[in-house]
Amino acid sequence: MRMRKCKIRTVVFFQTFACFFGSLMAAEKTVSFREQIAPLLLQQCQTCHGPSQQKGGYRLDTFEFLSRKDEDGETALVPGDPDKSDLYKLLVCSDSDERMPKKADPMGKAETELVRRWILEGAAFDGGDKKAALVEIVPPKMHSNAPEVYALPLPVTALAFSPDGSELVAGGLRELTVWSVPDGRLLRRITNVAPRTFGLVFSGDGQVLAVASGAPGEYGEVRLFDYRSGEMRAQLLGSIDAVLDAKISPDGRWLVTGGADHSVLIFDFSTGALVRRLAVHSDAVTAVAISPDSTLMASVSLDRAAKVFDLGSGKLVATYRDHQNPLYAVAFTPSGREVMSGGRDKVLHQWSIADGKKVREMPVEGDVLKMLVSGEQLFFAGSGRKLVRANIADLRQGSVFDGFNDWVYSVAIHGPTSKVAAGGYDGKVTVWDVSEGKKVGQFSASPGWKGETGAFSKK
Amino acid sequence: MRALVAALCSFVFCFSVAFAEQSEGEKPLPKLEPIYVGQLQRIEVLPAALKISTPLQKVQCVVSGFYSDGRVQDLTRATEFRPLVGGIVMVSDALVKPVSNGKTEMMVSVGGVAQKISVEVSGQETPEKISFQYGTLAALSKNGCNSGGCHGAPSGKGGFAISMVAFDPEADKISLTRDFMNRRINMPEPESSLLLRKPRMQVPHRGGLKLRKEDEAYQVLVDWISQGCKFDEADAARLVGIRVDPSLSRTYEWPAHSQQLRVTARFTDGSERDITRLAMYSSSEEGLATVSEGGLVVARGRGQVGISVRFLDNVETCYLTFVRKVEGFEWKAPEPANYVDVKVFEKLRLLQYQPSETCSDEEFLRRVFVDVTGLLPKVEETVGFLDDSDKQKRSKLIDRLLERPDFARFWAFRWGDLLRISPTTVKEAGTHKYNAWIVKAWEENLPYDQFARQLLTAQGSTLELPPANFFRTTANTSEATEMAAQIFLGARVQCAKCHNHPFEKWTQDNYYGLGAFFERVQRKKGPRTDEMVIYNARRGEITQPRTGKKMPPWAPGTGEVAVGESSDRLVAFADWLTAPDNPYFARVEVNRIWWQLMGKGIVEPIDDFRESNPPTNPELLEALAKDFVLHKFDRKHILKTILSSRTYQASSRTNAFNQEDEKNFSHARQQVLTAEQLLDAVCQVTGQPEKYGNLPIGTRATQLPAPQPGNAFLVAFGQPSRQSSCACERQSQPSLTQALQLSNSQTVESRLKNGGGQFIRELAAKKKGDEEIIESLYLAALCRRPRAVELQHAKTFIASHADRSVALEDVAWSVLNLREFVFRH
Repeated sequence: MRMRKCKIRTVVFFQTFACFFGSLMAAEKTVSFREQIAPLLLQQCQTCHGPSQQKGGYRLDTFEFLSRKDEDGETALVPGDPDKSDLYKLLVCSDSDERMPKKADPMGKAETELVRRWILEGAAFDGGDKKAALVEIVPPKMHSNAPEVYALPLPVTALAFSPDGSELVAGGLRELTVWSVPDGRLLRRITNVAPRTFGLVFSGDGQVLAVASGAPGEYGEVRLFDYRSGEMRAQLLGSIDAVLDAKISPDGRWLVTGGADHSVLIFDFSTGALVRRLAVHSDAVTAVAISPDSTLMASVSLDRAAKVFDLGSGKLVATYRDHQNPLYAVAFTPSGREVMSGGRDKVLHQWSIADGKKVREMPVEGDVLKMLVSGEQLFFAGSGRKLVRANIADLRQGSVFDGFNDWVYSVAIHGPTSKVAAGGYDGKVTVWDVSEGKKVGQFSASPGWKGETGAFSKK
Repeated sequence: MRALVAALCSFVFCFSVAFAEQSEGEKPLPKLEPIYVGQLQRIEVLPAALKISTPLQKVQCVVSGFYSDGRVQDLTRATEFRPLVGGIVMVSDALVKPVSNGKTEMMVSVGGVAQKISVEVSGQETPEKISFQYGTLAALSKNGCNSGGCHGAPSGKGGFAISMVAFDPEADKISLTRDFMNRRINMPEPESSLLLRKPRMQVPHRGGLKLRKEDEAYQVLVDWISQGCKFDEADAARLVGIRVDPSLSRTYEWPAHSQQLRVTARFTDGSERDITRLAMYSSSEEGLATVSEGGLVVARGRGQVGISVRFLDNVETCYLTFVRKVEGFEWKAPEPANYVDVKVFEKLRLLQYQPSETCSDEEFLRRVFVDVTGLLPKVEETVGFLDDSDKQKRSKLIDRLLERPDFARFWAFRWGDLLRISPTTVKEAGTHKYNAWIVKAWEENLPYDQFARQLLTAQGSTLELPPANFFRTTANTSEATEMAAQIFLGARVQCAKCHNHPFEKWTQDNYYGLGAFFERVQRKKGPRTDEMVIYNARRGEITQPRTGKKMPPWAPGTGEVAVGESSDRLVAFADWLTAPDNPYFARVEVNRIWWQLMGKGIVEPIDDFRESNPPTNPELLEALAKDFVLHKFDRKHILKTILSSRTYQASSRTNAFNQEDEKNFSHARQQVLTAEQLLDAVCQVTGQPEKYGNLPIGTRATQLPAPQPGNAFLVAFGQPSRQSSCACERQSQPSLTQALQLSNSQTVESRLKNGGGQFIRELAAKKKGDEEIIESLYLAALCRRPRAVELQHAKTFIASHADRSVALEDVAWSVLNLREFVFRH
């Protein structure tokens, strides 16, 4: 990268600053790239200088890229000399056309000073693998607490029954809320969660709750919580956009996720290690599913594609191309030979993995946003404001569970107690007894919110 | 050797100089100068009384100063606003914000003149409900979120799609709140919503920083979210229209150079609201005046500008004229020949441009011949005219030219472009029949209303009834609607097919409403080869695809047009269109004629009439249209009126006081002859006609029934293939190919060499002297006699050359490459 001409207005000031407070600074802890610089670069620079675009031919989404020499032998980072490092100079440039980040307010003084100090101190890298994405090396965030009382309802985008079926866990704002079934008393609040949760799944033994979450457009996280204590056990990965779904294989070996960053990730659930990253979609991956025999996984995306992979090898097994619109939901049939996928198409597709061809379809009302399989039955819901049960073998519609005022985003099933629950845009969770076909409870999953949002009129 | 000749003629047509378009660099922002208040007669304050009844309502005050000499200027920036009781309203930059309930008065003072207006604030205790339509969507529009280049694009940007300028609120409701798992909104913590964090660049946003916390739009969006993202009730008051103040066109004399606008929305419940800061502004000519996000217009030049104000699908335009005294300027103009000159000169005088003097006979002759007949005059016609001492000779020539067959054929040819006459659209036989019908219409001077009516209502076989080809050239209702609108209404409505027009009042409903007139047109094959039968079905309704509603016939400016169930909708359309008071029909045609003669329309482009693209001289357009209607749509009358004017006959040479003027017609325009005119001219000067397909030899390029394929010369000079009704299809961009075609192509070369150069050979055979031959050449090509120096150069050149005929060829070549030959001037 060619060095840019840019006058630094503040250079004299900083030299004076350094002189006066030099001793004080020396006493301070040295700046950590991983903890202090990387989060800053992620937030401020990565959109234009990251994996999706590299303005000016420069990217800084890994430390290796950030410190790389260009073909002219120039580098943006000169350890020990911030005034020769474009990485710093362009942040404090007085010419707003040259200054980074472009088309935005300048970075705060505290932040630019951190960058300057880090370079001055030798620009050390304390993040392990220089080739690892910054988003993966930064330490897990500590999330601030949820609001005591919600001023307005938060749409319920994730829902799960506790293993014994007596509790429902719902995604809240920077928290998970735990409710008693079916009366909807708030039992516990699990904190240190990203702003929004989109996927919740329990481990086979019911002790660990995996949470797919994030701040839309900003970052994503997959965290594992000890369900009883509510303590975070681990953060499996950070990413650059929200993680939208997570599933654990029936044999407990795999955890797979799909994210708004277009990625499908396969983790070894026992070690928490990332085994494979599948870059196979060109838009957000909205849902994932795992076959009953734990050998295959399926993913669907807003890019209108549904794909099946071998979990062990990561190899693409099948692609189904008959969708006309973005997809939101996917599930395997009990035999594991077919996949069902749905989204904005006015039909739900059931197709064969062997040849990627449609087996049968079922007309649906509205967008399908969530689907789950229980035994031989499929449950799905979405903008049609109802939960529909269908017989998987012939895709014939069974009972319809209504009583929803708005779009339904999340569905949870508990087979042993034959309960099904769904949560929606209006922040409410409705619980049904499937065997009796009746509603057994409804509550607002936004703590403190009791009002009504008003129905969203159908067009 | 040719280079030698070129060197001799230093004024050889030079593309690099003559054609190089000046690239426009970035214009500097206009400077806002202080206001010179001076001795006021009175001031006017808008609004006359301030009444604020909700907490978020802000009111823009506008203060105008009137002077004893009739001048007016905007004093808003120089005015002091002082509420008599504090704590009720706050005023900054003439913007009044409510503070608490109460009544008081506000002293408005400027330049020693003061006026009191009443102030009444109420309703501050009740939180204001943000309207989805007029708050949220207006805010997103104001900040450009839903513009065509951003999230308003058909597939959105970055996965987020909303409708262009909010034309589809139902879809926007979903995109904003429910789509993608409620990704964009955080109801419990509104300011954390992605919808706000992105444009504020708190989250990286490829569109950049679009919203600041201080922006009015920001607060609207935050409030809307914190109120639960509610949509408007079905019975909520709807927008009726918007009003822009100052409501009358104003003229500002330097140093007055700015105007604060004030925009008010009116609703069905009778309420009004100041939307100055939520409306969107655009200037018809940025080079002349710019307008800020807050509605402050600042001029940088002289002339009239249209400022379009848009609020959702409402568009209003106000016209402001800025003039300034030019040092040393003294009004001097030829005696007006008719009302055209009166209107043009009024404008020029106001803007302080001085018209060029009347052109010479030589210039006039060549100009009027190529404009009216497409052809150059013959040498004897030129000599006859130049040597004629009759004072009325120009007017007599105009009369004669308008009666020539060449006139009718040339103007029919130009209509052929508009009507897209080509073998592709109407088959080979159709081109001849259709063209012949138009030629006849011009020959007989068929009144334009009847001409249009016959095109629009002809039903039957295209072979027997040539105007039926009008609908044959369109495949379906959309094409018919768009073509009729473009030709007869001067409107480009294509974009309204899929969404509301981004700059104009045309909505998607309007598009399909207009389409309802053409929905029943049927096209079926006739029994004979290349025959098509056009007829109108008895029923058939058009559906607006977005709303699924059946649209009744609708016409701009009129609204729904009642057409009886059994009546012919095409007749109804023709009735509406050709009515004497139709606001489009006459204007569009006189403007087209004006454009064909003057090289630039009063409205430009000629098929883009819209409020936001105002005429440069509305009075002139009005006068011509009125005259046209008065003379029962007699096009020859309009032609003669324009041709007879001093304006048409002005020289193309500029003076010190009009050289900057490009659109007020202070001087004639120089422009390259059209492809066909140029080829005809080459053929005529060399005496070697071109052969076009199977057409008889001697057929002129400017009289072809349809473009003939494979003529490289015509293609190079921009001959259109007639695929569109847009005048823009005819390319006028200069190119290197053109230079090569003229200097070194078979088309030109073969006419000069090897038995070519017939013209010179004939003269030489008649034993004419060099001087006589050169003079004839100049008369034929340039309609003038050579100057002494030109004659001398040419003679010396011929004398120095061994082969006289080759030398003569070279002289002829150099003349054909003169800028003066290639241009109409």
